Amino acid sequence: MPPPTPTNDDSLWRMRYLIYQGFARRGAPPSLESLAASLGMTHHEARNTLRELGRRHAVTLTEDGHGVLMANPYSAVPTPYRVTVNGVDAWANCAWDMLGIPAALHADASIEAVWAIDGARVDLRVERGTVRGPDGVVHFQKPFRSWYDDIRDT
Amino acid sequence: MHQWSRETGEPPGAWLSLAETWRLSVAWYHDRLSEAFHGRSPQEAVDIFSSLGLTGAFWALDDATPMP
Repeated sequence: MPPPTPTNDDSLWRMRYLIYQGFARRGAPPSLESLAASLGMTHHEARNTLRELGRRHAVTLTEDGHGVLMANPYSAVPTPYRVTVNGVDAWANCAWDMLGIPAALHADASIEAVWAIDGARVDLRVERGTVRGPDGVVHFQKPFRSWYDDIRDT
Repeated sequence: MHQWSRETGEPPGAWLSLAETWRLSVAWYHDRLSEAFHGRSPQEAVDIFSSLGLTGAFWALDDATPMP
């Protein structure tokens, strides 16, 4: 295995930006190959840069470390929280993040979610900064300070 | 939520209305897509929580808290 190569901070944050742009424009993160091409990196350099983003909790990586699983508020895999903004469908990690996507994009949204308490579907909208739909609450089960014990289970 | 906590044996945690969660989302994520966003410190996070009235042990962080 080749030794790790140091990462350049400019490239690091540029990669982070490209990942978020991928989610915003297509609802999914760019592949490692695409990131490498966009940044003029080798596959090895891109993988190390991605790992550094993971180490800094800027994104959460897939188990093999070759892709993005989460870039809060976005999820790369289907969840009970589907959010449509500007015609782009995306998955949110949790009930907080389903509102985080329109907040990040400064845009209105349609949201299909599932109440955790009974599994019933709920449709919500964000319109000009107001959440519209049935009354409900968002449950934060674990305190924030322990989220990164396992970010997949908060 | 108290009933859910009793039935599951899980700690009750915290809960916010959708309107409160929206305000938290705006404060937390409004700059997330900016290229200039490089994360925030635990103190900056606590300041956001406090500005929304989210205080107490559940929302407390220390300097060692890993941050996004």
